[in-house]
Parts: sequence; structure tokens; C-alpha cells
Amino acid sequence: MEIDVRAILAQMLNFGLLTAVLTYFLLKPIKSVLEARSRRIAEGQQAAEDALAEKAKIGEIKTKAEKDAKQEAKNILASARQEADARREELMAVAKADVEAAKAKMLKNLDKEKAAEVQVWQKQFEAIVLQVSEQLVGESLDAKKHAKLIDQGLQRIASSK
Amino acid sequence: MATVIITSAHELSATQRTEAEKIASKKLGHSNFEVQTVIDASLIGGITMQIGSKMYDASLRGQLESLRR
Repeated sequence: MEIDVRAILAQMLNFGLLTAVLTYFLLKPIKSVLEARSRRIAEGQQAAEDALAEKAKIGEIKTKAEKDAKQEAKNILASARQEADARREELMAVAKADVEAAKAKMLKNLDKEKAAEVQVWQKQFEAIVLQVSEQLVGESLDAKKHAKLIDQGLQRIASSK
Repeated sequence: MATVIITSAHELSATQRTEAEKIASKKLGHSNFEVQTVIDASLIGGITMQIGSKMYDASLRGQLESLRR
């Protein structure tokens, strides 16, 4: 069997040309398509990761906002409760003071009325006692007793300042 | 001259009048005064003396009044 060198060389040249043509017209576009696809995938992955990170961030913000809102509501409630308690205490103190003042005033008025009534009765009683005493003493004094009373009176005046 | 008014429920004896004048003289610090005597039954008993501007009340009426006060 004879080896056809020219045929082998022609085959080799043919193969080289085919490889060059395929490389130029097929491999490059496929490669660029694959690269573009890889790039798109990488971008998609990045976007998905970014979206996940954003979602997590939004979740954190939401949780924090909820927590802050709850805390603020709690603070407002506590403050309102405290204010209501203080107001209630204040109103109670004012009401208590008013009641005490009214009570004191009433007692004072009662005491005053009582004292005035007692004074009237006392004056009437004194007037009666005085009238009766005058009548009794006046009727029972004779000249001798008058003289004695005058002597005693003179002694009292002499010893007084 | 000062005035001494002696008021009594009954007439004073001479001795009592003299005694009253001695008291008035002692209270005033001199004997230059005029004496007026008044009988007032409303005193009930005892005597009052007005010596100058000062009034001394030793009457039963005065004592009853002081009891009232």
C-alpha cells in the first residue's frame, strides 16, 4: 500500500482551513453568546442577592419601626396614665380641701351661732339674777347695814390705787 | 380747784364724810378740793367717789355690774 503524501498534506491543509473557518465563524460567536449568557446569569444572581439584601434590610427597618412604634405607644400610654393619675390626685386633693373648708366653715358658723345663742341666754340670765338680787338686797338693807356698807366701801377706796 | 363727788345710797354720817375727805386728800395729794355729796338709791348700798378724773366704785350696784361682766 502506498502512502499518498500529497493526499495527506491536502487533508491536513483541508483540516486546518476547516478549523480556521470554524474558529472564526462559529467558535467566536458561540463564545461571545456564552459569555453574554454567563454575564446575564451573574447579573441576575447579583440582582437576586441585592434584592434579598434589600428585602432583609427592609425587614429590619420594618421590625425596628414596629418595635419603635410599640415602644412609643407604650410610652404614650404610660405618660397618659401618669398624667391621668396626677390629675386625679390633684382633683381629689382639691375636692378634699373644698370639703374640709366647707366643713370648717360650717363648724365655725355653728360655733358662732351657738356662742351667740349662749351669750343671749347668759345676758338674759344675768339680767334676771341682777334684778332679783337688787330687789332682795335693797329690801333687806336698813340704816345700820347701809352705814356698814359705806364704811367697807371707804376702806376699799382707800386701799385701791 | 378739784372736785370730789361722793355718791351713796344712804346719807353719810359726819365721821364717814370726814373719812371720805381724808381719802380724797390722800389720793389727790392736796386739800384744795370741793366736795359734793349725792344720794342715789340705785347704788343699792355702799359708796362711789369721783376724785378728779378718776372714779372709785365700792357700791353694791357696781359689784353686781362687775359680776354681770
